[in-house]
Amino acid sequence: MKTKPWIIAGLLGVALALMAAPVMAYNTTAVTGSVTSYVSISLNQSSIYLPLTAGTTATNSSLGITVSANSPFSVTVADASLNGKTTNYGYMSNFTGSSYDSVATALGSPLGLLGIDNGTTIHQTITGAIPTSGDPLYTGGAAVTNQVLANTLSQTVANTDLVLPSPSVYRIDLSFIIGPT
Amino acid sequence: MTPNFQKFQVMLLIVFTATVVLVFALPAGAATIDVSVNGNIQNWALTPGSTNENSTASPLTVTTTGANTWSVLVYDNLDNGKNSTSAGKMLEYNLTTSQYVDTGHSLGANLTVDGGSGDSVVGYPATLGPAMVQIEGGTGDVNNEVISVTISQQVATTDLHLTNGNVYRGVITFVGEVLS
Repeated sequence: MKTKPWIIAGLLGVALALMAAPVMAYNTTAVTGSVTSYVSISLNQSSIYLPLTAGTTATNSSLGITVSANSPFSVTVADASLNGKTTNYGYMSNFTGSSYDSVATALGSPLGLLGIDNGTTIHQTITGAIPTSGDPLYTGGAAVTNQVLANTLSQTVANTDLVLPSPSVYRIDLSFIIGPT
Repeated sequence: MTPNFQKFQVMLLIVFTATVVLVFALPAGAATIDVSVNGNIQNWALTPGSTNENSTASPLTVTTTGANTWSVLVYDNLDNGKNSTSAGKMLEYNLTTSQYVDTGHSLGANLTVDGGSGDSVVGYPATLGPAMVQIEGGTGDVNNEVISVTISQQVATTDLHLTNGNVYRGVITFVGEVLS
């Protein structure tokens, strides 16, 4: 009769388990969504001084563009046409100190800008003067985070380019625009 | 005692114990809980660099009978073949095939579910994952108790914007549990 206690214990165990077992119910919510596009761009400096010597091409490779994007993207560069500039887009023009000179003296050659590839971000060659509508500078094939893009500015100065009286200088304002593609 | 009498004793004991089991166990079986949610969240525009909140699933409605205490829990049941590494997170989903992209992208942060509180209900915030986490709790029966629920998704600027037509998806399973 040693089996009796085990039988009793077993049945009581079942009873206790049933008494303690929680009653459960289920329901679900499906969640679907899309991450919107994100892009950001910044420059490592707001102005660059470019010493110009007649008969030579001045270059400066200090311009760094930092970009982030969560999908493929493009970067374009445009003549910002700020400070009263109404002509000679893409050319360094006579800036009198507070605005562009209405006489619109400009260097004979357009400003050059050359990007450098970095990973999946490929530079685009700019030919001719940078327009106000923008030229492609980079095509980003994939998402990037704080990617630094190096660039070289170049300006050919002819012997026929005029020397400006002080305080006038040759200047151009550029805009760099990033967007998802 | 004869062997037959001993068998009779055992049988009698079993019948008695079984009766005790039924008497005590049946009331527990009579307890019920019903949990319903308002609906699915679709076409949620998730903005990078912020915590996106959505109350479309709200309200959560709970009805219980025979409850001593009850609770609502949430977890990611990995429905529709969702891979385990993405538990709690929204995973890339192909709307055309109605399947998850097994090697697809997932968002960096887990979904969170925040249960609202009321007069007789206490809500808790929960991070969605493979294990059940409580978002609501109450004592005693409730009848069509309406509870607000907020689902949140933190999106980093590094979370990818999908350009292949796929979306991010996850399924939140709400579990009602009642103890009588």
